[in-house]
Amino acid sequence: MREVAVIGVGTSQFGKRSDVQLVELAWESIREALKDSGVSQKDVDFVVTGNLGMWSSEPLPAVVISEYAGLNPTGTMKVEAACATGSAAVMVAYSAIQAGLADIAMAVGVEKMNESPLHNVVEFIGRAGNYFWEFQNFGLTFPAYYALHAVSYMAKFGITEEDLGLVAVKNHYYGSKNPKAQFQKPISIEEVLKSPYVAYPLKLYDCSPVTDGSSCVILASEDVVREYTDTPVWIRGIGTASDTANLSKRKEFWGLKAARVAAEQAYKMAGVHEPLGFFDVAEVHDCFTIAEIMAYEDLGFAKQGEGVELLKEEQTYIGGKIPVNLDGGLKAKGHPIGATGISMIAELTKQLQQRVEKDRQTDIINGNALAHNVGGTGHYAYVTVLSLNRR
Amino acid sequence: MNEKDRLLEQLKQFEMFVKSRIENEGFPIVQDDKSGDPIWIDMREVTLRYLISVKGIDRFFRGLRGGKVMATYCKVCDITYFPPQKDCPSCLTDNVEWKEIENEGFLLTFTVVFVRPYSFMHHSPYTVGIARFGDITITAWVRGDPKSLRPGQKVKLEVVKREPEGYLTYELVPV
Repeated sequence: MREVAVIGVGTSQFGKRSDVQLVELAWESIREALKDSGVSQKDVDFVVTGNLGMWSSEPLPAVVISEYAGLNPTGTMKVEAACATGSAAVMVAYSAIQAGLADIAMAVGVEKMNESPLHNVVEFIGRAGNYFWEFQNFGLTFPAYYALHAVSYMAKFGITEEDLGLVAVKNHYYGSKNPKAQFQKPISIEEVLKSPYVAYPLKLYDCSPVTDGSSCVILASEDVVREYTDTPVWIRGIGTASDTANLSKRKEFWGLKAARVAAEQAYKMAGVHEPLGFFDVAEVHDCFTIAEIMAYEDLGFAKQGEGVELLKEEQTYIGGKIPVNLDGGLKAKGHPIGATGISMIAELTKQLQQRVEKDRQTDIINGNALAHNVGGTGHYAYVTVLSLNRR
Repeated sequence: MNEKDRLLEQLKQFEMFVKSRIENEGFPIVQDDKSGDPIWIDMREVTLRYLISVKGIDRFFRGLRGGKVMATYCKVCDITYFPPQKDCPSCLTDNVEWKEIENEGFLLTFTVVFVRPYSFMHHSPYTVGIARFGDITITAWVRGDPKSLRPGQKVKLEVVKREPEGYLTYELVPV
């Protein structure tokens, strides 16, 4: 099998980016990734763009970005896997290289959610399930889908709204140390608990924000990696799975089956037997606080029902068994849908290469990292294993 | 004035402001509330309203008119489908039958939607639940005070008129 590595990464400032258009925002991360890798546009054999759109004006983001970034006439496409769009873009770029169609491929994810007013964003994202049977009659929203999981999980395992809030406190703490995060202030558990309900039992501070941002990674085949870097980050495993569009067709609401299936595949491919002790750091999909707790369990960091214990013991902080979301996560860094999965891989690449800000850099011992990116409410799941060690 | 009317009023005022900007400055460019950055206000507006075929599940709507919530059932595979679907992907046929749903169920989970989408803003915060009825599970609004709800709660299904829209749908009613 042809091996594929990340050789350069870039991430824009996340937040409400009223100062840039979609193409300008995408360019911020593309430029950074080109400079980081030493690759020039003419060396790129294939470009994959991740964007969900709807709320932004450009319907063909791949073509406007390629023109602006000087990437023509390289082949391109847009991919969609809801909030896991970024990881899907990376998977397509990876596959093109592995198949021998490209030696260097770029995955760029961008979202400009603030081109529409909040009430339209709530509308569009609420439709991201089964439109006819869930949204049309019952007006479910994205927070509501996860709130349905939270109520079920809380009833089954006896955790509280305060327990959920521990995720927000941790991720805002690390967001405060990440200059590219949307929210750069630590918050207290009292502030979380005081915030108004969005969808019971989830409150404002349980939810990731509406974000503009972009992220870009450049991947290379084993044949050309050494021309660009001495410290490539190898993609050692990728798993992907799906689950029913209608939540009502799921058997239980205290975990995401697609994430478990995707993790199993990625672990098998990368030869991971016990994730704790293998990974130095992880990025997990904390679109809502409950999602991070379910992720710990779906990924095998904790037994079912015991995810909160990791938080209470601070095992997912730096110095713990498995530091998680040291960039602030979706919760504090922000969640520009199409960019999120790519920014996870960009962040982990820099963590493994020990290039992030000092006070959020974790110790790299084994040289392995994990990205867990969920689309919709477990409709799509992508799990990616990265490593400094080649197979 | 409800939340939606307030929003519509704000949008109307904003529209007038944009108009005055075009007259005075020559462009639909306004300053962003927070950053002060210049923002072009899109001059092309569309209304999204889809035309969705229901031919394959027409029986479902006739059922609702008769006060019944129906599912489809493949007797070859012994699989009940809800939402109803006209095809059985398991045996690759469309020989499904229609059957009424067993009307004794229990709540698996629920939520109360406080921040509503634009097209639901004219409703007060509403409770959405997922409940199991025999071998199928149904998502719908839950009637009554959400404070007394918990997973496991017994519920039944009732066909109701969704007001103010006035069309027939179904609701979960705590027993």
